[in-house]
Amino acid sequence: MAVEPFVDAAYLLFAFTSLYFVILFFLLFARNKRDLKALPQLSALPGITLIVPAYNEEKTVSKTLRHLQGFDYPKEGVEILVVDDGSSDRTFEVASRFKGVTVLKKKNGGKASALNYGLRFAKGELVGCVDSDSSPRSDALLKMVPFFSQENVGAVTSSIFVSGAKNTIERLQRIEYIMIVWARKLLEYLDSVYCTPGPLSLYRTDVLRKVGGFDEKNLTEDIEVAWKLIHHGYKIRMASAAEVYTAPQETFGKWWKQRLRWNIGGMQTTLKYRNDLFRRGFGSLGMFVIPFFSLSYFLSMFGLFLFGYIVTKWVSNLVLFATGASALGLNPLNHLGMLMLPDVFTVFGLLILVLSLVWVRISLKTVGKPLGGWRGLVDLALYLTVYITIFPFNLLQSSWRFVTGNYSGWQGFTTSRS
Amino acid sequence: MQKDLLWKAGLLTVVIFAAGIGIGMWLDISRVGSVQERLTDIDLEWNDARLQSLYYSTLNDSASCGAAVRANLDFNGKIYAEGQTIEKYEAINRFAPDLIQQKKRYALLQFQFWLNSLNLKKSCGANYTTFAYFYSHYNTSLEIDQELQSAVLLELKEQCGDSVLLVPLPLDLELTSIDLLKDAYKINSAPSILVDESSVLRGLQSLPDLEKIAKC
Repeated sequence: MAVEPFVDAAYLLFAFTSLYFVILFFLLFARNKRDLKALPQLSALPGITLIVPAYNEEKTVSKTLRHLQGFDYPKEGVEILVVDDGSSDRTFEVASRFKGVTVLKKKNGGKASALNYGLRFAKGELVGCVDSDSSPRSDALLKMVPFFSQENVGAVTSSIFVSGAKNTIERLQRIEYIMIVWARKLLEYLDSVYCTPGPLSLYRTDVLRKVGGFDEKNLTEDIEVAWKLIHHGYKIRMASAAEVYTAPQETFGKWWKQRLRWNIGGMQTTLKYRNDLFRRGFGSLGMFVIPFFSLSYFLSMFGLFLFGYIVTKWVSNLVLFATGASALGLNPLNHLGMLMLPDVFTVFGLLILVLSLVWVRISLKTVGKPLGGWRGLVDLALYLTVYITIFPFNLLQSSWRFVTGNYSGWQGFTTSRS
Repeated sequence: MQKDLLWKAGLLTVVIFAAGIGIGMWLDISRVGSVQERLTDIDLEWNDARLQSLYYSTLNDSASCGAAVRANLDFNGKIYAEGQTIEKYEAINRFAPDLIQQKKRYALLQFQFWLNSLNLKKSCGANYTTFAYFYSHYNTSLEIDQELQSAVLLELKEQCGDSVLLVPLPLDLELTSIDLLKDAYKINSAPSILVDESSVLRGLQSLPDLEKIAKC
């Protein structure tokens, strides 16, 4: 049976779906470009409890606490709770040196468990979760709080950027974080901010308690809690003007493991909320978030297999032709054109590639984080070719681990970072 | 929530996608149309070349043999190039109907050309080596081998010029005339090359080996 018709159909399906999402994001941008960084009117300054879960963070927790104490917000309105999640280093002692900071100690149970523990003691009307390696800008809270003027807003997230990117993997994460900030803001217009990331997110304390806090069994409690809020009818807003800087994963190995955790956590969450799929009663969760999230996983894997097949076939034909031509006394270079005929599918591929490039360009410009110089261009080229291509492989391993259950005990391996 | 953008994006995607498919179909169909037109032109030229040969052989005008052989060689160049165009168009054709009818017409023209070449050899003593190259239209597993053999023959033609005639013939397009030839020389596999109506070379042939046979 010929494979080509199926490959053609699969390619068209992939192209259509990819095109749909690219166009959707362009339309979202076109309609909302003027108020991407706009803030609602600030009507009150509610009390905020900032919870910092920390596990063996003696080297970074001081810097984070200095940032939190330097917020442009009434000092009496900010309570800082550090939850030492059973650290074996001097995290507790280092954090205890800060005046006005309450340090709680508990047995190691993972980041979600530490956050829930802190939530029990929180006195503020709002509660903020802050990773122990993140550095928020001093005006971040002032730029997030106004979004709570709407009654049904349950959480507000911030723009998270990478700080101090030095090596290649760090610089690539820098671009990725910019793209995530950008996409998340646009998804807000569909009520579909599907993650309230750990570096800095604010929640209504009573709402967070009402929905049961963070899921301690989930590897990505920040995704799960966002879905839970949407499930219960709350909106999540994205304060793009509130900037937070976080340390990237400094090696490929660490980055890979972090992505495995993110992917598996995403899968756990999707499975947990599968019954909401296409059900109107749960806001945008069933009608957009779950389909979008699942489809992005599917497209990534599907794309891997599809392009893997196409590229493998093309390369193997090229190699067979070149070696065969040499053996038959021909100069292969004179005849390779026979294998490189563009067709209408090439046009579709190029169209999506061009739209994606334009998209990245608009993102970087609008977010205001230009890459700068030739090194930035090289990074961008690497991001669009190598970095993105690695994702499906990670997803493949994540899926395997998820299916085989080979991720138990991961809740505790990084308790305080996203 | 700006729900309207979900369906507006869908609508726009359908429009752009349909436009893309439409352009693809238009390109494919126009390419098929172009092949048809060019085959019609070649048909006319072929009849002209064939009638020239018939004229010379009927009148036994050996003085004009050179012109007849020249016309035949020129026609070979054109028809071979046309064959390559058809192959290229077929490779990138996604939406238009199959080019099978065009390929059959082309194959029959090639077969007639091959017969005419034989007549000219006999009646005019034309001094060229004829390579009738048998390939499979349907067997996709032979794609690379056939690409290679085709490239080798093309290179040979470029090197040897008028001392070589190339006649590509499909094995499996169910054309009775070509089937007769296949049966006569027991040619059942591709790629195979019938050289000067006498010997059959089966499997991939290298350029140096064919150069020796072509004596160019």
